Amino acid sequence: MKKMLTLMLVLSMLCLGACSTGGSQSPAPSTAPADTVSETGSGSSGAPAYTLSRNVEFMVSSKAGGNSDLFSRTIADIITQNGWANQPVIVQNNEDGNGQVSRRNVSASKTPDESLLCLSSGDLTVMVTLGGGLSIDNFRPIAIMGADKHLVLAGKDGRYKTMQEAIEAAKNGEQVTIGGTPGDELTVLNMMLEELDLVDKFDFVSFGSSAETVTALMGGHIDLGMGKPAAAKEYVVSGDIVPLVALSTTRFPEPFDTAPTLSELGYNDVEFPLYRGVVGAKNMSDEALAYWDNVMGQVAQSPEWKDYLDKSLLIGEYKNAAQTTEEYKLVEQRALEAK
Amino acid sequence: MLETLQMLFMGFSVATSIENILAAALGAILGILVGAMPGIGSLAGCALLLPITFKFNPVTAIIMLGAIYYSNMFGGAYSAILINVPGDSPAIMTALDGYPLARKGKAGKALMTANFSSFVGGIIGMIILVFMGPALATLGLKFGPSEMAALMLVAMTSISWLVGENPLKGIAATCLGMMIATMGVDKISGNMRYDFGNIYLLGGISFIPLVIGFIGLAQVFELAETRNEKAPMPIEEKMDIRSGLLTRKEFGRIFRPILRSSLLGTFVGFLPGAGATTGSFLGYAMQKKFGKSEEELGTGAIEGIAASEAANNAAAAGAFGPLLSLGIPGSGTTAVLLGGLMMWGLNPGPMLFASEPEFAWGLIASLFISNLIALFIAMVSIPWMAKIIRIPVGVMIPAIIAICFVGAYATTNSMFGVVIMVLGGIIGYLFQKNDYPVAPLLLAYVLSSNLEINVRRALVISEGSLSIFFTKPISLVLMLVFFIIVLTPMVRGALSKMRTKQI
Repeated sequence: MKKMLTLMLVLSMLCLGACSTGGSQSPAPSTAPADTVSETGSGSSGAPAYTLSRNVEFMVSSKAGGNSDLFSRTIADIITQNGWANQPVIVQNNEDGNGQVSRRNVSASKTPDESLLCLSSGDLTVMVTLGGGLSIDNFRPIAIMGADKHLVLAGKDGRYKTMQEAIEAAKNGEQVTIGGTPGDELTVLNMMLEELDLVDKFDFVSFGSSAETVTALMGGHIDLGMGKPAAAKEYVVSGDIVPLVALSTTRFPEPFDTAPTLSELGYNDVEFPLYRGVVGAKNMSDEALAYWDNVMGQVAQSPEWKDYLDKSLLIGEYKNAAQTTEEYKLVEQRALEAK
Repeated sequence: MLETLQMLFMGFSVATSIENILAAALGAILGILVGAMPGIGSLAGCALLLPITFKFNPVTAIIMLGAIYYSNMFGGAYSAILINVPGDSPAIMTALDGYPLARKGKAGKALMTANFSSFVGGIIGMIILVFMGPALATLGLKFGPSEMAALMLVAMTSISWLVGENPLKGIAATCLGMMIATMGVDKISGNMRYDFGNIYLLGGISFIPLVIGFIGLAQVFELAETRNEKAPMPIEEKMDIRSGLLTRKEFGRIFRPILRSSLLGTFVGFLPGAGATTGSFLGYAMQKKFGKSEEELGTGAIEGIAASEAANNAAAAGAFGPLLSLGIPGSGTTAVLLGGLMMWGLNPGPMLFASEPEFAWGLIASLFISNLIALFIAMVSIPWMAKIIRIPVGVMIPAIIAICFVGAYATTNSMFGVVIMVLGGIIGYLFQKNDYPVAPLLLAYVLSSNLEINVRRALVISEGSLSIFFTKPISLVLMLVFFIIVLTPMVRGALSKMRTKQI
């Protein structure tokens, strides 16, 4: 009996070890339905007659459980459940080198037709800033699946109740501190400050995520914060956080609809959407690109995807391969200018 | 108060449905196993097991997730005590006393102390969570950059109790730890630091592989060197549950450390961004400073194990406070939990208790239950877990090496972790050979990066003025504590010198 128990323990340990070394893939969902998929093939819903020859590796350059990870796993699950790929799509996380290692590996993948990478415009900004020879030309952009836009937030008991007050204060030489992440949020902040003619007039306090910024705002440690809707919604509903201005051409939906756009305040609108997208390896064939372009288009149309967008408060801004290439080139250019 | 109790009972009625208890039990078993695997630890463990929960209904899934999270904290101590490879970073402090005690042939006792302290620490943390959660979470918000920086300074003084006999060597180790922590992309400005043109170094040196190398692999080298000299393990204990049980006197010894550490740990858990690692470091340091123990700490004192494990688990419970009532994750692991909750369309935050009381209280109640289940499973497994210590050194060496490699690979999902682990092992071995202490290096690594980020944020907010650390009440108090700790020995030394001169 005891031997049995020991054996079972050892076996289960080995299994867990094997799971963990194979990347933190979602074990059951991504592999099991593969058989049923190969029976139906990929041509069921108008996809070009193209077959993948091996497992698809979907790389995420940040940790499991994060936004990019959930984004990628949702895509992989939708593809698998609908049988849109004849091979399993396996999500892998590798954060080495601040994400640069995954990006390099996918770009130079030896199986270019089956290598995907989750790349947001924020990742792209980081990639270009870090240098090392990687640019968007090292990838084949496939799709932008959604976007996040930014808001300027303040704490309920903060010094500034409206954006105008903060602008006036900064013009009068008062110190205004504003929190945000050093990637996309700093970029859009600088764009806004340029428009307001307040370049270098705000003190920027760097945080690791929108959630950290919101925490600091609620504690009253900073005056203003840059943030995205998902990180702030609960607090705006509860009244702890007040949205001051929407960095978009239109107002945000509830509960952020009290925040005017910059044009309503008499300035030009400023926006720098954080695109969440998928790119492929540099040497991906044209056939494979067309195939993935089509598959991602189907995913973007699916009710499951719309459900995910709603849950994570993302804007459903689908762009196909050609449009994504164009959009990401613009993002890269801006990052290079800022650098 | 009464209302809180009512809500808690309502939570228990949700959590005690058959399927929820089964989910909690399954979560607890998986959690202990994964937690005991070095390198996986609670953060990766939760991330790894998260997808399993997607198959259940939301309440059951969250309960299972809570159990996984919670029992991971139990498991971390196992490998630390048995083979001196900490399963996760809070267990570093457990290894300091747990492993020496196991080498003395009292592995059962060490495990039992760890489990019992974890259990009590967790329960105390949860009780505080139930009654003072929202209030403490709001207090935690007051800890901004200047307050966190001051807290880290206080925490760093604990390094001085770990430097060992030769202070100079201890300081050298501390400095090396701080230097390693600066590598990688600067989190404030986004600039690269000390990457030496290597793409892997852009992300800095990952901590867990470093720990596994410095402690685990280094010890393998040492074992390999001395394996012929070493006397076989003393067999003074029979390996059954009874011999592992603590005597009344031993309960008396660990009672105070557990209580102290639990309160401290819960509070640290409530602070945004502090986490269980800081909790266990501070708990151990406090034991070193204020506690008494029969054996000296670091040589196998159960007080040390109790102080570290109770603080670690209390912090894990405390971290649920800001997570549930504010939606703010206090640690990397709770950040993964937050991701899981959001997958279910639940948005933890100020509205959660009002909008989803069944879920929120169900989760809290299930933490109590999974804590109990984890304790039971852990106790049952002690007798045959403890046998690991009897395995001959010649067999243990390759086994530990394999565990080190798998663990290091699992943390980063790449060979980079393995490279760090091996280099860490070599340096760690050289440290041991030349009597340089390892704990200060690891502690400095964890605390100094936190200290740096917060000092820099505070200085941006104050536009470069140091006064920010002395004008805000919380940071002022912490800075005073810091100066008292640092200056006391000096003042005492000066006074006694004056006295001897007068005589």
